[in-house]
Amino acid sequence: MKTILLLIAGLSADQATFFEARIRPVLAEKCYGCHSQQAGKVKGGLLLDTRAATLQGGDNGPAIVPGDAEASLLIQALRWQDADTGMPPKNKGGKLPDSVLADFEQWVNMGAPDPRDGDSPIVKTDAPETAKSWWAYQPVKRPEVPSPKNSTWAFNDIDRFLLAALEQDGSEPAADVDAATLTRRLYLDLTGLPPPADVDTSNPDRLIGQLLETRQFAERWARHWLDVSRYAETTGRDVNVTQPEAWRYRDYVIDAFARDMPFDQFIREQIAGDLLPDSGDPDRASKLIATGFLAIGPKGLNNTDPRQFAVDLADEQIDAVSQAFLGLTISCARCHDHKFDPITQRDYTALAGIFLSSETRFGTVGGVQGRNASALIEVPDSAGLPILNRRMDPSEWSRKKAEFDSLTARRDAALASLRRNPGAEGQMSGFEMVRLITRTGQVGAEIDRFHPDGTLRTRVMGVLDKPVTAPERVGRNTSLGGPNSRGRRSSGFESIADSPFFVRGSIDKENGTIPRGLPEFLSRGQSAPMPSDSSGRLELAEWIASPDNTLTARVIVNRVWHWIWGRGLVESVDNFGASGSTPSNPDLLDHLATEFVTHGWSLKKLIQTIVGSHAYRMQREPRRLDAETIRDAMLAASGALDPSPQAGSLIAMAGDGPIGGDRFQVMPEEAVATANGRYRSLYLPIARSVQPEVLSVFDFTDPNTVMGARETTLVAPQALYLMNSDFVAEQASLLARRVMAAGEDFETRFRHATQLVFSRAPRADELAAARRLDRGDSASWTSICRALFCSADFLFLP
Amino acid sequence: MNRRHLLQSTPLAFGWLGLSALAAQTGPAKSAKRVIFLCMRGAPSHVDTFDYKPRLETDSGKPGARPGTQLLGSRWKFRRHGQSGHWISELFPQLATCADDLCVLNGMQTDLPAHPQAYLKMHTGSSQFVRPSLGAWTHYGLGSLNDNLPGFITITPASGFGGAQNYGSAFLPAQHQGTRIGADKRPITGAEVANLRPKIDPAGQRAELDLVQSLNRSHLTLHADPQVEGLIESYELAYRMQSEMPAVMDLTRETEATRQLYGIGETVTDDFGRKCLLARRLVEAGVRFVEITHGDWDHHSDLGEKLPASCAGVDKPLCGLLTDLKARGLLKDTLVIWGGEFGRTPHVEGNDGRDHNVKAFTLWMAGGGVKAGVSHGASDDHGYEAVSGIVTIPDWHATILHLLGLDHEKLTYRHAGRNFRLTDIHGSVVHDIVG
Repeated sequence: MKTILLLIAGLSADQATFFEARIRPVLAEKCYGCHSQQAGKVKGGLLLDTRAATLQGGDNGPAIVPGDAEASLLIQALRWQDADTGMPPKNKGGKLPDSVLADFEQWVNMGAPDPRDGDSPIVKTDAPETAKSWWAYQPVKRPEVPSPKNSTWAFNDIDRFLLAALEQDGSEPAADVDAATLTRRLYLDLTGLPPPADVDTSNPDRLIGQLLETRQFAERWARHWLDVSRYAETTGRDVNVTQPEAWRYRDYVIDAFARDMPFDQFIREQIAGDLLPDSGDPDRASKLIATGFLAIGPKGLNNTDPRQFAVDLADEQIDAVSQAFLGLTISCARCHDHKFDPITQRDYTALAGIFLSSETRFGTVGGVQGRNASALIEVPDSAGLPILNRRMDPSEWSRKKAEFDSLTARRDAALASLRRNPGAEGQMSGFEMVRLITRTGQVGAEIDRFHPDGTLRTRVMGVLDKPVTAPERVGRNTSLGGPNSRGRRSSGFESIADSPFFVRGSIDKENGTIPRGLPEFLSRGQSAPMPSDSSGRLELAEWIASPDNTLTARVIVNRVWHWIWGRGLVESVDNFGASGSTPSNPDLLDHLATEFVTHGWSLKKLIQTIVGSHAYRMQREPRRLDAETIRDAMLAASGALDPSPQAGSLIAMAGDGPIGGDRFQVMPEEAVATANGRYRSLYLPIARSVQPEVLSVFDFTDPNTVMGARETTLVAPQALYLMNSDFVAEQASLLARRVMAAGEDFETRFRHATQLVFSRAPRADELAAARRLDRGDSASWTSICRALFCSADFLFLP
Repeated sequence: MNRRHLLQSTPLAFGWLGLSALAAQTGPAKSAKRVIFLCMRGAPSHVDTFDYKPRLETDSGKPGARPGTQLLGSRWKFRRHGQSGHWISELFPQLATCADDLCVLNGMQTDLPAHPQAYLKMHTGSSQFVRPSLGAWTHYGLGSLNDNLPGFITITPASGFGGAQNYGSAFLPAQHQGTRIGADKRPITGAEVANLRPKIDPAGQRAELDLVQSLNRSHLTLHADPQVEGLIESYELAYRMQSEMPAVMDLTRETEATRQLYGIGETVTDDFGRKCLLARRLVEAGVRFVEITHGDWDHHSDLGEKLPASCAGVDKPLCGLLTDLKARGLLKDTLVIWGGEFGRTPHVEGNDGRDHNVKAFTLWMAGGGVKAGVSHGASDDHGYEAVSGIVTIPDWHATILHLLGLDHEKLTYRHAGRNFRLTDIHGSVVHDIVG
């Protein structure tokens, strides 16, 4: 009260002198550069050039508390209480002299008298508060199905919503495409493969039913979900080591689509499959593999601080879960409350506790740069999981085991000696030590992969709850990391517990703990206390998979809409937060969401309804095919496609170790970049740093992040790939052989070629143009076939 | 598809227009038009090359700053060179003759003493997350100078240390990612850009392409579609690249004198000399950003043999590159950067090695608007920790962008609901070295 009176009453002469002599010059010289209107900079949202702005403060709150230097952020910053917020920053000269600091303390304690008039130009909006009324946070409605004037056009309710909107705009639906085009569209959308040359185009509805039951449908749609779940077979980031069991998660997703697993169950299994009841070993194994969703993400294994590694891993899991299922960027609230959405840092911390109470088993090789190795989850043979065609000779295993034991002994002795006597003569050099530790880890991983009889052990990536109480001895060289690690140091998160609240996200600055729980606003305060004997993942999964969640059903139906139409009803498919888009047809979105839940969260039913609509048959703007479809469709046309499911992948076969790099690699990056079999593209190896060229050149997903919508570019490297690559040349040559076998004359051959490549008969001008190249030999036919692969009618989905 | 999106994703392909409007408004230096980044993979020792520490020599054998360590004086003689008086050791006799072109940063610091993290930090600004590379940001900000060539080329990049992420575009559109020539630890001779060599003779290919374009035009008559126009343009562009790129890469078009300038033909310098000459030809032809990787500088042992060998491999070509760029009037707007991901310890590792050191290291820059003949920052008496003129990686990135006319705080890309920058929330331009 006193200070307010003071400010209103104006300054005494002494106060004004003090400010002008001791404070203003320092502010002007040391602070205005980054915190004034004149400089045009507002670092940290803070201006210090008027009294009002100084009192209002920046992102972290008011800069000063008049009368209380101790409580003033400005003083804390000037004292350099911590390196992150110390002011002025190092590169601007660093900490000010103590005498200046004392002046500032005195000034604040005298009530911060300040003659500088003027308003604060920073308008503080409470965006997250306003965002509570954002459309995506409102309950899903069941909108009434409109009755458009044209009562004959609609096949189903989707059409009625779309047609009503068109009629309101005074427009009409586009004309239908012909049967051949519709058939090609259905095949490519549903299976990612072109129709066979002799396809029956007479009954689209029957065809939809048939296609939905094919393995090819499940493969195609699994790949969409793998984009969302940032699927990859290496850890990425710094050392990029293989995750040789990641493919099991890929196959799990294929299986889920094949069985039309209800999407709510699909959510539960991926977040908390290990905590769900099971019907026996095979079911248990499948549910463990499902939690691979949480284990396959990118991770910086070389982190020297296991505690930092643990919170980064939990952060990545929060990011993946929230973006994939909720379309929210909750991990933005790691260091501060979310800038746009009603998600607080407290909410983030409540979720972090859930993931820090869970143990992620990603099973990477231990070694010098894989400081944070972990074990896998072993499942019994009775689970009946497929295993790769790999064996190790039992004598080889014994030899390696002996080598491992001897390496371990040497390593431990060397480490102990180094700890006892650092820098002494005769110590192993750092680099020798690196080699020894890495070699130990790699041999360990190799024998760990096999039973002593040389058969593969069945192991999966996944997540389990941590114990209720931490194991007694947790320290260096315990076997926490499993037999292939060199003994991981404890992260400090070894049991089910709440997470500390990390000030500004820094693990060095704790401020109490926050009970595990659900985001407060989003869960409408329905979050019951989390159980003390389990992580809370099951409760989290149940909340996400609930029909009452305003986001989950909307997010997935919108993803499916995007995958079919190339554009979501909500364009920002991974961001339903307040910085995302609004739905182009909100009633249709809610209709789809409610129907989806009503029909048991069936993705097949949803897809069937969308592609069975009249709207689906309309002419529309063509879209470039995605990378996998371009490759698979070429293989299908050339006749080279091997449609059979593939167990594992090149990376799975390569085993444990880094991809690329100077030393110790199990596989060069080049081997991934040039990978190309005749099987479907989703079985190609996917590393985080590099993908097979055929995929990356056509805008493959970025497997480091949840990605429900890919880029589509049309650039010269793609043209070069189509014109000059070995792969396209090979497919063109195989196709040439195939069409030349179809008949003797040009027209029969070319008709066959366009049927295989475009799924239609050639147009007259196409016939004429191609005829000019025909010399009747395989070289000219290879040219013609390659030209077909290069053309818009092949590359674009009609 | 709106016009902006179309511009970003279609026809102009490599020749993306760039954010020149942004550059024009912000008013940074704009003195550099292109960059040649000579990346010394593995981290060269600064105390044996560009950071002269007489006290390290006299204190050799005494305890170092890290407990249990012993200082190791440099065995190579340092001398002042040129008008600038830069201290350069005898390991770089040729480069020393270009001393007055160099701006030497002796106060460099980075975060983490492990190669992959530090290498990624240097290339992408982040070791924790996957982010676009420096070259990708540059290309995104400025676009290409020649539509017939890739705008960002990386020559024999590291396959480890984060691999392709180091020249990736992450969430930036794919046309900003680096085009790779050659592979790690392989000679550059014979390396080429992928898919540049036609499978058939030129006449045959032209005929084939004519068929492609008539099929595409046939498509256009039925559906007017800007994407298909983009596709047609992308083939013509690719066709031009096919002929232009090999010509740019053909080093035999250079005179013998020029080749000798770069040390081509001499066993020790041939490979790096070819890379440097190729880099000059690429930037001359309009490539915006060229990175050359040279390694391995990770000298944990046998420093006495390995460091001279590494230096000898690059010394003459570096001097040749600077001399040649200057002679062609290119140095003034080509920023040349030399350095590795961190420095090395003044104390010995084993008998004859140096360990990783993030607290102090040296980079140098030349041309492109940096002050020539200047040194900035200093490390302590032994070269263990930077004590003045400290330049962090974000500061260094901010300065590079500034020299290119880009404001590191305004060069942003919206992704996952927020704007991203190369420098995240860090970085200050080192104005003292901007000419």
